[in-house]
Amino acid sequence: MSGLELEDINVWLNGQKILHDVNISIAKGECVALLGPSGCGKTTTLRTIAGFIHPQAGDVRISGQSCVDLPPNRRNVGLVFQDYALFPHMTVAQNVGYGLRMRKRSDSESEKLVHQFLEMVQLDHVKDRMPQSLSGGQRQRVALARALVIKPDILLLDEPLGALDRKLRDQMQVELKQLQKQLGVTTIIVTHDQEEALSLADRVAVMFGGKIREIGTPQSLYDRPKHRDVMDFLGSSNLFRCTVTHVSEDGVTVSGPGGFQTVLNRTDFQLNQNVLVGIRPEHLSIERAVADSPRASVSGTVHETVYKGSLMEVLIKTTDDHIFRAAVSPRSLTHGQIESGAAISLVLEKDFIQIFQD
Amino acid sequence: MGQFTSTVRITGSRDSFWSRYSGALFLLAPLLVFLIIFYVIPFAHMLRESFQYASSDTQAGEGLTLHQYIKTWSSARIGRVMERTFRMSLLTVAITLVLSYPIALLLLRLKSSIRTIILLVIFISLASSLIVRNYGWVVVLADKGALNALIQALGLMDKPVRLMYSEVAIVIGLVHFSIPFMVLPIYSSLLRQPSSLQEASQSLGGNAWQTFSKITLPLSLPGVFGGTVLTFALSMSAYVTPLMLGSPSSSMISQVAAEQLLIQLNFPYGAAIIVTLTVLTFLIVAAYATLLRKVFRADV
Amino acid sequence: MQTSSAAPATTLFDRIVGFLAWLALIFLLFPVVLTAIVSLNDSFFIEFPPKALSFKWYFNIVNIHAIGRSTLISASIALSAALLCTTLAIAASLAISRYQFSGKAFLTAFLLSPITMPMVAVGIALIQFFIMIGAAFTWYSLLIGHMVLVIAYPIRTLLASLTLMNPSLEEAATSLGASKFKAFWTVTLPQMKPGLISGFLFAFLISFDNYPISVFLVRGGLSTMPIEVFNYISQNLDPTPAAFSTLYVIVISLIIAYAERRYRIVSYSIQ
Repeated sequence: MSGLELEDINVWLNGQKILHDVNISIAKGECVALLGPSGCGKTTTLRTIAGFIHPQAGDVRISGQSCVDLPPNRRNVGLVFQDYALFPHMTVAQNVGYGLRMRKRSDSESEKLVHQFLEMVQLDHVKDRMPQSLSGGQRQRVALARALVIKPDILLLDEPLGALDRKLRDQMQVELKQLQKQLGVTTIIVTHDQEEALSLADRVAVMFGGKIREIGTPQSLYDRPKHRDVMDFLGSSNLFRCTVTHVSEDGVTVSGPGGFQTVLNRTDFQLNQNVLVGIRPEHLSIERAVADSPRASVSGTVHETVYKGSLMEVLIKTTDDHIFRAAVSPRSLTHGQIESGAAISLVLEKDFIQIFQD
Repeated sequence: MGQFTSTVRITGSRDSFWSRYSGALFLLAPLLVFLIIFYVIPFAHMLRESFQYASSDTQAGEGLTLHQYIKTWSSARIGRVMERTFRMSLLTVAITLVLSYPIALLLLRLKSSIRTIILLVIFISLASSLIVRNYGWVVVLADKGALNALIQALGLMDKPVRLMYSEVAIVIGLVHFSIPFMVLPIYSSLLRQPSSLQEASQSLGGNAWQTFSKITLPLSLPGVFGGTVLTFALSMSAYVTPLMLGSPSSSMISQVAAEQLLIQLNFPYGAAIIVTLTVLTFLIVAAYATLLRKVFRADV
Repeated sequence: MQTSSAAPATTLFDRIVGFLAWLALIFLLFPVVLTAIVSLNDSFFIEFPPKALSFKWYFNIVNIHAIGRSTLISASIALSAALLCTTLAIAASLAISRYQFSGKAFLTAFLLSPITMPMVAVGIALIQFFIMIGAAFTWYSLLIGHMVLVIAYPIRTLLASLTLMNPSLEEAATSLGASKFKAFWTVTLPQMKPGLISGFLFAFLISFDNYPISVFLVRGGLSTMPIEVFNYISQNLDPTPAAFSTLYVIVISLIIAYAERRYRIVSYSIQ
């Protein structure tokens, strides 16, 4: 059952094309994050779904019904703004009840619903306070309650955790996810923060330059991205250029800096073709240099180490001046293993090697 | 906005009054001295004069008296003129508000190039000579003027409509004068509202009228208050406009006061009329502010 | 390339607001435009539409009694009043925005109050005062009257300018070695420029155009432009004042347009 569908959405603003043929299909109850750097068009997409932008081409369908020609107040969407947009001249309860008043619900019914949803976000005790007297975290929950009380078909969140401090963010992450699952409301989150996207969403759509680059579950996007810029954007990665040095029926052999060589079960590469190889730092492990190792490895000397509490980043420099970054647990290291200048080898976990066209 | 915590002098309780405030005093002294000599004292003198007998009064004598005020309040003519002035001022405020608010709303929506042009037009209106502007209305409203030409051309009337030298002409002139004073405060208070508030209202189901009446308008009340108060005060004390566009039967209170002062040379009586006007205006404005604060919970 | 707007459709409410707004703007411009048309009318009487066009009324402006001398007086008064008031306002607005003291709101209200006082009251109170001290009907007494009239405008725009200013700029200057005065002169003052210019401009224009205060403070040879124009209007029926009006509006428009172009005064007066 469809929750939201965007079909061939194209948007021009101020003479510039912002969205190019954006297509996405979201199931009812699913939570999808639109992730990308600023300027990628994710906010424009959100506003198009809400109805503040009318696309020059394309269709927006909520619960199967086309609503692209409806103004925002006739679409049943709940929007939580980045600055929360709480009405400063109304109490918390009046803010939350605003959408119900617009839908002409009776006062007694509204009061019950407002109470119910304020309880859900644990803020029933401040219902008669003014928004200015609340903390940032409280304001966000009021904004959430206000958007949810109207039982929207779609919930749209614009950078929901951006303004919160670390501790509050972690807490809200859990609460938000639980609330979303409990209510089963189709949710779209717009964010530039990958941690937000990866932790909250069932699927993540990575956007660059007004197009959706790749959609997938957080895991698949992180572990096995199909596009190099997606890999580059999410988390840190080692990306290095290699050449196809041998082609046979079993596969192709690629060779690269630091003595890297591996055989891949791919048939779509030619001899001497350049490819881009990517692997994440946590999928590189440290071994003492062993010549002619059959596993994919790179060797060089320790260039720099960065202690990050739960992990240690080790940068090695190969003889051909390439830097590889590994992330290892500090406890797994032996004394002197990562002294500056020490000879060292990094083994690449084959399962997590990604290959991209160059 | 504009928290001057770093350049405001943080002073301790041990600093003497002088060292704490000498800078401010030094800066403010010239202006304060000037205003005290040429603003406070003349008005204080005028105030005192309003409590004296005029040389033309039959009960002439030394000492303070309420005679002038009793005369003011018991004069039928003054009562009529006051009522007329008050009525015309209210009308002016209402019409100006209805015309100015849409301009402010329009300014929000326009591209910046057109917006600047309209703002410039408003500024030029503000800075144009009042004599010049009222003369423009003489031209428009005269028997052979533009408006009558239009009315006759459209076949609405056969004879010219007498518009000049009437209350109608004065109100038109006052509204024309007051529009800039109303548009600018409303516009700046609208600018201060984040657009996300209107969008939030729309996303919750509010149509254009509901969003305006429940969100935009209440939050713009400080600006509306500023504009209406200024317009009201300026209209109540209007002198040039009724002088140029009105007739004796439509005179406003400033004219009556000026008449007493310049022609009758009855300074105490004229002073009493002016003081009455000023105090009355102030009281009305104070009541208005209280109403907005208590009933509409506005931040004025 | 598509050029249609991406905004949602305009509603009935939007349309009504737009209609009223444009109506109001036409209302604002109406007399100015019509006066300009009338000023070009060949005929002696004010009539519309004009039957023949001529510039003769523009040449007749010189026949307004003492127009040259009174305009000069108006200009000198306005210039002096604007300069003096702006200087006083700089000091006062600095004091108000940089220092904390109780009664600041009251002080600010007091300094801004002359705008709302009936002008007739100001004129009459002052002429009595000047008669009392024996300085009535002089250029200086006229200047003082105008200063009381316009002082509020530069104070308002300068206060607005100062509250918008970033306080760390002056600190940066002093940390780089500038004395307090130098920092003020080279950093703060330039930041206040738009507020200064718009305050000065308003003070000048409002003084230049004032009638009610001037009319009580002048006599005989001392006269101002609005007074002479007003007298001409009361005594003559021809469209010479229309020509004068139009000329006046054109000059003002050019001045304000230039000030906006160069100093962006519009944004600093909207506070």
